[in-house]
Amino acid sequence: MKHRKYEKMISKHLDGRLAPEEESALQRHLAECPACRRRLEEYLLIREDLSAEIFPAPRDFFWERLEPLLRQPEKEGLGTLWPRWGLRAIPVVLMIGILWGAAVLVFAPHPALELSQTGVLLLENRNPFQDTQLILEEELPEEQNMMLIFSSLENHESTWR
Amino acid sequence: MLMDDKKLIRSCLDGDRNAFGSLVTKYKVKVFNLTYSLTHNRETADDLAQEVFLKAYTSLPSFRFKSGFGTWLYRITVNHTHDFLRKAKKMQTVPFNDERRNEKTDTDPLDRRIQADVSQRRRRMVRQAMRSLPEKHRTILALRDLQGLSYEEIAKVLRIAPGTVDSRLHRARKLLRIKLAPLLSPHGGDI
Repeated sequence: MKHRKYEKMISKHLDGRLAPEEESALQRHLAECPACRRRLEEYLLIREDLSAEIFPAPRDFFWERLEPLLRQPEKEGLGTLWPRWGLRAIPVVLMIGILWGAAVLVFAPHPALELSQTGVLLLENRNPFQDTQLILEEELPEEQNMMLIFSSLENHESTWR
Repeated sequence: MLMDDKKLIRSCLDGDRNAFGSLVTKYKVKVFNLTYSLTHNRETADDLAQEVFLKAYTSLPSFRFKSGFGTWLYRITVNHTHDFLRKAKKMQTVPFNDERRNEKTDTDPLDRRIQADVSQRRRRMVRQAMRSLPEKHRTILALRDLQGLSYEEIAKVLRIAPGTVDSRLHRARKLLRIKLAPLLSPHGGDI
């Protein structure tokens, strides 16, 4: 575990990216750890070999071969127009949409406000269901019975007299 | 970004193709070396480098001058080469052991000529070991240890965090070391 930690530090050490205190900690560890010293040597050797890589040159007449390809007229299709204009078009379209929506809300003619019968009753602080309630109440069987009883009593009184 | 590059790009956007020619002259070796590092084939690397510049030319109007032209070009190079490798399935996975077998039969401690040849052979084996690495590790090694890009530049090219550059680079180097361990040390291998 400890070696792994120092191996990672070796990698950063190769690129000169260790903080001064980390660097001194690594140097202290290297002084007493032959395995990590060997690791450092291996990494140095690999890096030396990589940096010594000899690259071939590109083929001759690189620009001369490339230049005619640049001259070919670019086909203007949606595929080529999109990267150039697509992203710029998005905010423009959004702005147009917002302005149009706002214009519709502000300038569109509103229909005249007409209150319904219920609305009028509510404004007058009257119960719109009053008539219905009366009818329902009259139709209650108990009420009807009571009405019958009262009417019968009235009939009795009239006969005694 | 260098002032020269900015001027050249602006001239190029104004229709001056020769300005782009100057950019090509300036960056062609770097682009070619990167494509070569990832493909290890001169013809393929050359073709890819041409395609990269063609792509850069057509995409130049979308260049925002936020990053350096070189970084932007490297990003195109890496993406284009990766696309090519994926499509062509030309991932270079040369069997590393074959080369090592030859190495053992050739080494004779008394032969001075062979001794002088050891470092050259080792370099070849390092290249082959690198080819056998996964694409992302090969790319980061190519950018750092072959092209010499800074961590910050690599982060921009690969669009990853600098911390990820750090850990991925360490992983790539470690993988390479493990692959080369038998060659580097008789006690090689992971600690």
